[in-house]
Parts: sequence; C-alpha cells; structure tokens
Amino acid sequence: MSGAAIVRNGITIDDTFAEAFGMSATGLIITADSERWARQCAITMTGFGTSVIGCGAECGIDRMLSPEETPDGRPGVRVLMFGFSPDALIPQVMNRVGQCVLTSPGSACFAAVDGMIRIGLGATLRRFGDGHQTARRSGGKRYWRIPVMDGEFVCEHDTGCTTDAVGGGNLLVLGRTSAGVLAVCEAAVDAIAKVADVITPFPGGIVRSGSKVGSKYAGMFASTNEAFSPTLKGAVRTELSPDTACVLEIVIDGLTSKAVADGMRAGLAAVIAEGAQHGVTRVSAGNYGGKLGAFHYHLKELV
Amino acid sequence: MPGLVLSLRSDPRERLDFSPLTPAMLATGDPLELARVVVGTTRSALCLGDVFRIDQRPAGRTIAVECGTARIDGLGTGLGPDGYLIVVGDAGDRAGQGLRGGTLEIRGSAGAHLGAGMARGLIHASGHAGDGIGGLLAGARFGMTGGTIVVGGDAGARTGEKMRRGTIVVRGASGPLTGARMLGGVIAVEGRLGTEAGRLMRRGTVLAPGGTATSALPATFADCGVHDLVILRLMIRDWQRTLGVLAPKLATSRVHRFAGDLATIGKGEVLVPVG
Repeated sequence: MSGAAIVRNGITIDDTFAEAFGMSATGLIITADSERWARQCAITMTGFGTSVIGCGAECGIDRMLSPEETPDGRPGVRVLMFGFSPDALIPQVMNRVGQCVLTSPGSACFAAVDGMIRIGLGATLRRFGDGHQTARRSGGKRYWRIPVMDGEFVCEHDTGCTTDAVGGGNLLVLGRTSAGVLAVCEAAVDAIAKVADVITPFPGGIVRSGSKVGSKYAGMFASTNEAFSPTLKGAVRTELSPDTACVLEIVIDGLTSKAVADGMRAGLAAVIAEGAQHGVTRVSAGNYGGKLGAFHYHLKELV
Repeated sequence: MPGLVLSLRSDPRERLDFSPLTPAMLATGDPLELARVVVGTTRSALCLGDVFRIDQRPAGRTIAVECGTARIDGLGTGLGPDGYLIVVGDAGDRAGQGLRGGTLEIRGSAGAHLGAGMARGLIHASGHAGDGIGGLLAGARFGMTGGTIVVGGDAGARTGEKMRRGTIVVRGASGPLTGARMLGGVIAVEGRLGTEAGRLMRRGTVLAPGGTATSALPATFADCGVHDLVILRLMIRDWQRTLGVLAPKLATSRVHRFAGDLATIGKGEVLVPVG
C-alpha cells in the first residue's frame, strides 16, 4: 500500500496498482457438432496454458459462441492465446491446434483475431493430409480440408496476431476463510468472463500460488510470495493482517489495455458486491514497484 | 463515370462487337466520341452511333443497353470494379469476357463464352446461356479466375471449362462436360447435371443439387460415400451473405461425394446432395 486505502461495502481497497506487461496475442474459433465437443476441444487446447514462464503461452476461453456467430453455423468457442511475441506463439498454436483440435471429433478451426501479422493454422497443418488435402476459398478466406477418420478437418489458412495485448492484470482477494475467499473469487471470475476479449488463464481463473521474482535457490526464476502467505504471517515480514487466513489472485490477460481494465473493473465490482458476506476483508494487487511493466491499473480508479 | 443509355434504333444487319468499348472509353462518357467507335464486323464499319441512340445520364454510374439482341457480342468486356452494365434483352457471345469487377446484368439470355476469363465481379443472366460459361477463350491458359456467374435458365456445354476460382450457378440444367478440365472454384447446377461432368478436372467442386445419374459421370470418378461436409456449411453461409437471392439453392451439407477425375490428380469432386 502506498497511500490511503478506501473502503467499499466493508472491504478495504488498497491504494496500489496491478502491473501488467505488453504481450502478443492470437485467437481461434473452434466449432464442433455440439456445444459439448466444442467446449471439450477448447478446454483441452487451452490446457497447460497458465503462464508464459512455464507453459509457453497463456490460454483461455474468451466465450462460447452460438451457431449464428460461427463461420460454419455450428456451436463454437472463442479461445485466446497470449505469448511474449508472435514468433513465440507460432509453435504454441501449431502444437495445440495440431494435438488438441485436429484430434477432437467433428472439430473445425477458424481465425478469431484480425491483424497484419499472421500465424499459420491450416498453412502448416495441411501437411497432415499427406497430399490428400485440398484448399477452398470462400468469402475471401482460404480454408484447408484435411481428410481424417470422421470426415474432414476444416481449418482456416491462418489467423491474425496483435502486439497490442496486455498480460498480467490482477486482483488479490484477502479474507478470513479459504472457502469464503474462493466463493468470492469464483463470482469475480464469472463477472470477468462476461467482458469481451479477456481471459483468466489459471485453473478456474484463480491462482493460489502468487509468486515473487527470484529465489534463494539458483535457477529458480520465481518463488512463493511469503509476504502474502498466511501460514508465515508471524514469522516473516508480512503484508497480511492477523485475521487474514487466505489470499487468492485473479490474473487477467486481454487483447487491449482497455479490455484488461474492464475485466479488472468487473472483477472488483463482484468482490465488493459479494465479499463482505463471505468474510473478504481486503483487495490488493500485485506489482513490481512499477519498474517492469508498462501498464499500471490503479485499483482506486477501477472502483 | 457518368451514366449512359444506349437505345437500339433498329435491328442490326450484322453482328456487332462491343469489345472495343473499353471501360476507359466509357469513363469519358462523351456521346460524340462513343458514337464514332466502330462496332460493326463487316466492311461497312458500322459505328455505335449508327445503331444506337446514346443518351448521357449525369447522375449514376449505370450503363444500360436497351433492346439488346443476341447479335451483340462482347458486351461488358473488361468491365471494372465501378462498372454496372444492364442489358435489357439478350446478349450475344463473350458477354462479360475478362470482367475485372462490377456487375453485368443481362435481362435475357446470353450466348456462348459468357464471362470467359473473368477475374472478379458478378454476371447475372436471367435467361439461358450458351456453351463455355466462365470457360476459356482460344489461346487462353485458364477459364475464369474469380467472380460469380449466375444463369437463371439452362447452360450449354463445357460450363466452367478450365476455371481456376470463382463460382458459377446454373438454375436450370447444364450441358455435357460441365467442369471439364476444371482447376478450382465451384459450379452449382440446380437442374440436371449434364453427362461427363468433371471430365479431366484436377481440383474444384461441381455441386449437383438437381442430381445426376452415376452413369453420367466419367468412369474415372470414385464413389466416396455420403458425408456431412463442414466446408459446404461455410460455402452456403458465404453465398447467402454475398449473393442473397442469387445464392445456389442448397438446403443441406449432406452429400454423396464422387472424387475425380482420377485420370488426373483426382483432387476434384462432384457432390450430389442427399435427403
């Protein structure tokens, strides 16, 4: 906390900011014969996509799409992927689409982000057709038809990539019980999910292992943030009050800075609305002193 | 480009060739200059002004040819993206050849080689059309390379021969050798598909909502069974969005697929929608 906190609905909002970073991002529309299989395909494809540090990309479901919203008139899902650079996203897209979308029954894959920078989809995966693949141009776009065991995998030639994306918007929710903080964070994630162009890439949108940069051990880039660990609050220099028993974090990535701000605003509103009755006492945000990330989201401005 | 109305004074005594009326020339819109363009095909060297009354319409970009006749060839040759040509009546051969954009609307029937070698734009003939729609002219390597042709009635032989891209919609029946030597694009025939469709086609799709007898296909096409093709869903939605009422009437993406021509690389297909 750097200044005077404010209190809303009995919850203290720290006078601090979330520090986020410029990223590259791309998006895909995945469709299938049913919503169940479109969702299953998207969940599998975005798995192990929580942090660029260890996963190579941060991935998540932006929203479900009705048949009217998809290119082929079937149920679909829009997924977003964030990485350090377009080049870093290329192998992530190829591997995830190749291993998780191509393999999923009845799936098809289309571009969901515009942009001059293009990342190949069918441009690369078409080779799976071993010479039996064919291209089809429709509506000014090029699609590949790759024969597979349940018919054809239809895949757009490429998708767009933006370098205006932002990753690392965050909220820290502190409270008296684990169950209460978790319930409030679930409500906040649900509220953020209604905001366009953002994802919360961690499991269920929630992180319980907030980290600090560096470690006492060589080779560790990040380690536990003991200042926010309740079981250490009497033993280390802590950021927690005596009645705090749990801290959970919500990380937000967005295609634009505004989308991240909108996501944080929606999450914060949900915490303020739901928090007090579940024992939430305080909301804070993670930053590195403002020296690393170019994007700062002050909580007071989002209330 | 100012609007123009060309009204036929009397039936021409000879075939007329409108291909000298290039988009650049029409863009000037000068009736006196246009009247001197030779459109006759005999030694009499008939000029446009001899056969048509030319009226300028300062507002609008539409060129209308009233009382068109099947003796006028080359209507709409090389029409550009801003062009809109309406032919009230029939058109002769090679209408819309080399179209580069815009719209050619023929309120009647068209002769042979409608839209041959066109690259972009839309041609809509409400009546029948002759042989070689969207095909290639003598000496050309390819047929149409883009754009859309819609024929309200029947089409002649060799529709879409050697076409590379684009869409041809035939509301009626098509003649023999539809899609012969095709390299890409789509031909949709809502009436009966003619015999030997897709002969020597390499790529591309011939859609036959009106059905065809298996025996009418070349023997070098392979029956690949019945499938629900996602790519057809995409195409149907795109046609409905871009062509509206002119879109091929295809109610289902479930089709009987015949792959061919296996006498070449065999990456083309004839698709016959099923129940």
